[in-house]
Amino acid sequence: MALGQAVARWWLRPVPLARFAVFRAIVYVFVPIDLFARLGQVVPHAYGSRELYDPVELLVAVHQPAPTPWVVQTLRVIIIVASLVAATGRLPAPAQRAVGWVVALAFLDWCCLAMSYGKVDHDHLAILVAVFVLPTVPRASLRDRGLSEAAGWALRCVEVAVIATYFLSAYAKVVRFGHPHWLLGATFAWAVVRRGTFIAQPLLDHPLVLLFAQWGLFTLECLTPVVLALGRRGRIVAVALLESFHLITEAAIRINFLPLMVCLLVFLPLEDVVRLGRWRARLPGSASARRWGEIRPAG
Amino acid sequence: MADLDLDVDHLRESGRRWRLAVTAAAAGCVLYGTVTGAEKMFPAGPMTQYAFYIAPDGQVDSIQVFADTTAGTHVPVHLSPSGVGVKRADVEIQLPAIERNPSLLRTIAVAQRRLHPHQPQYVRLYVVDTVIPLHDRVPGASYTNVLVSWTVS
Repeated sequence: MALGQAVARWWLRPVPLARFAVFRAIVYVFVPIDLFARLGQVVPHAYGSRELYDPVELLVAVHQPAPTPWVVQTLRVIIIVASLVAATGRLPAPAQRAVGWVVALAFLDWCCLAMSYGKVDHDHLAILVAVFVLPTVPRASLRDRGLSEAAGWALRCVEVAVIATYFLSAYAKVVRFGHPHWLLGATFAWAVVRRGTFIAQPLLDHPLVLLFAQWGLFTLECLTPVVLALGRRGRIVAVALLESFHLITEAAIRINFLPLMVCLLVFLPLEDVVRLGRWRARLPGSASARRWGEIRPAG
Repeated sequence: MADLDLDVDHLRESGRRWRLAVTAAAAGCVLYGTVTGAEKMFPAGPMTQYAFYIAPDGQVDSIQVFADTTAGTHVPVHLSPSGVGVKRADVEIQLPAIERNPSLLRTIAVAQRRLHPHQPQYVRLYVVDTVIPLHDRVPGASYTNVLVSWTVS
């Protein structure tokens, strides 16, 4: 019982509402970008014929057929408009919740369609969790100064989804699919041969470097749950490290996990962005102070 | 800058319960997908990114699709969202099905016609495997195999 209560407290720890509001804006602004950046194949898929349509289980369950161009074009407009409206955070709570659910369901459908022609990508778990938990906190503003358990639960869900993407990948590598000899294999060499840029190609002449990089990736993935226990500074360092890893991967083999990189920001004290804005507005001589004819002490 | 107050908006007991129940259910789905599910369980399926073993003396296969066109040329097909929509990885994943039934390639020709009507159209498609052998993780000389060819109809 004590363990259960501890787990419940951990999942429901309050966070600043301003942090939630900033993260919400980030996610809802990113979702329309994702339609083109990582999931741009949905519309051109619809212009082909249906032969390669191999729906994921969710679409099979709802009997969704291969979409036509007008269906996906309409779906894209719905996602873009709803996301940008939701990003403002200025709607009354019922409307904010409703538009959030529209984004969640429409974006889930879009993601499922993107994964229904063969290749299934693995960078969308966290962003999908995000769009489904965001509507559960309809009242959150950048000006809020309090803490919220509801916001804490929502952001905790995204945090765990981010970590799960890394940690469960390590499990898949050495337990389920690759087995322990994955660590001695040539998976990185395979990736560089197929997709390597001018940065990575020279490493093919130094195979041990690629092998050590494989071990480094596996170690990094195994250690990611530690991030959940880190304090403020530790989280900032961890996010910087993981974002750097993704940037290096993009530069080396042109693979990006952009939705995951966006969701990594959930670990940061985003409310400080709002605080910084308030602090600068109070500085003597600031545009805000001049506009209102007031000079206030800093802080 | 201590301008956060300590007012905490607590959840009611019902709010806590349904959130924890949803959390447990979602975690259960993801764990099931990880341990025993297939990729088609997306988004709860296993995280299989690069989770496959390549032997140090194995080989790298790189699939491409080429086409004979109405302009009399032999061109690579742009397997991308800006090309025909179908990605290279889609072809690779569905390759066994394509080898059994090459007419599955029709979608590439149809997409070319609808998305790029002013470009030369495809009359015959070829799925080509470029094989790069590895020797202790170092790539050797490559060679190609035509796995599938199909006349657009």
